[in-house]
Amino acid sequence: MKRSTVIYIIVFAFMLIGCGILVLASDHNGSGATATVYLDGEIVAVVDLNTVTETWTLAVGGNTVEFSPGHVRMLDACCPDGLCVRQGYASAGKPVICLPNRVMLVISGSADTGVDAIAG
Amino acid sequence: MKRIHPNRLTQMALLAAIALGVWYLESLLPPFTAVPGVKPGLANCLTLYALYTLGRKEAAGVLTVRVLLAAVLAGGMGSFLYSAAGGLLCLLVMLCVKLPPQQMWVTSVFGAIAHNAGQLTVAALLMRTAVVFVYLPHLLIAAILAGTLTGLTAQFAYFRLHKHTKEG
Repeated sequence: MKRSTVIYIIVFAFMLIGCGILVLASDHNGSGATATVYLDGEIVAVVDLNTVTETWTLAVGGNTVEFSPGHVRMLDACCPDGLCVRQGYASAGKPVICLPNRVMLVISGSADTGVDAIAG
Repeated sequence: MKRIHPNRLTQMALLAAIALGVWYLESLLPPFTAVPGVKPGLANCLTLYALYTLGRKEAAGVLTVRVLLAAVLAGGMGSFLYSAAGGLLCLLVMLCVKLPPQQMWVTSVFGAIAHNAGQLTVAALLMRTAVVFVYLPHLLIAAILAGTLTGLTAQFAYFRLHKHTKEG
């Protein structure tokens, strides 16, 4: 095997490991304080999840957003894939994004500020 | 403008047709993960194969025909923007980093990374937010794995088939 091939394999392996760590690190369930709902890049609703006592839903651009005490998720989407529904509850490091309908659920205001810098 | 030899033109048309078929079959598969944009990208095997057997312009032609026909046949404007940006960046990077045939899979990985970066940029522009870049690590992993898979596929095909299909 050529030496450059070995170097490529090592570089790609390190990238895989690094990205794997990033993915795992962002996949925690930090229940944030505030959920912001975006449609087309505009803020549609800002909800303090700590004040939510009963589960309620909100229709945004063909999607249905479900707020429950401490949590927010995409309950339903009109697109064929429904990837955002499968993403489950949003957390501070893991926003829920619906690309076809351009709807986004972002959690902010929790202890860790990893994503807030990007979201700001 | 130099006329394309009918032999080459036929090969290009054949590769573009196969690429379109592969692309359509792949679009029928259920999504692999909840992260959008994670897919094998098998149609890129054909672009790679065209790049190594026919040449740069021919590979660009095969890709352009495939992306345009795919948009006309199946996708809407939205998916066309994604596949056009991804495909174009992937092609540009593969043209610049065209390694020897034994390292075709490396070229493919670089192309796949460029493809996913392009799609993520389109997503950021359409959504008007940088939040989508949280998917970057997911998509890099997907690009390395999928790029290796499609690259090795094209590489094996090249070494098995190309000997017999050299222009006669």
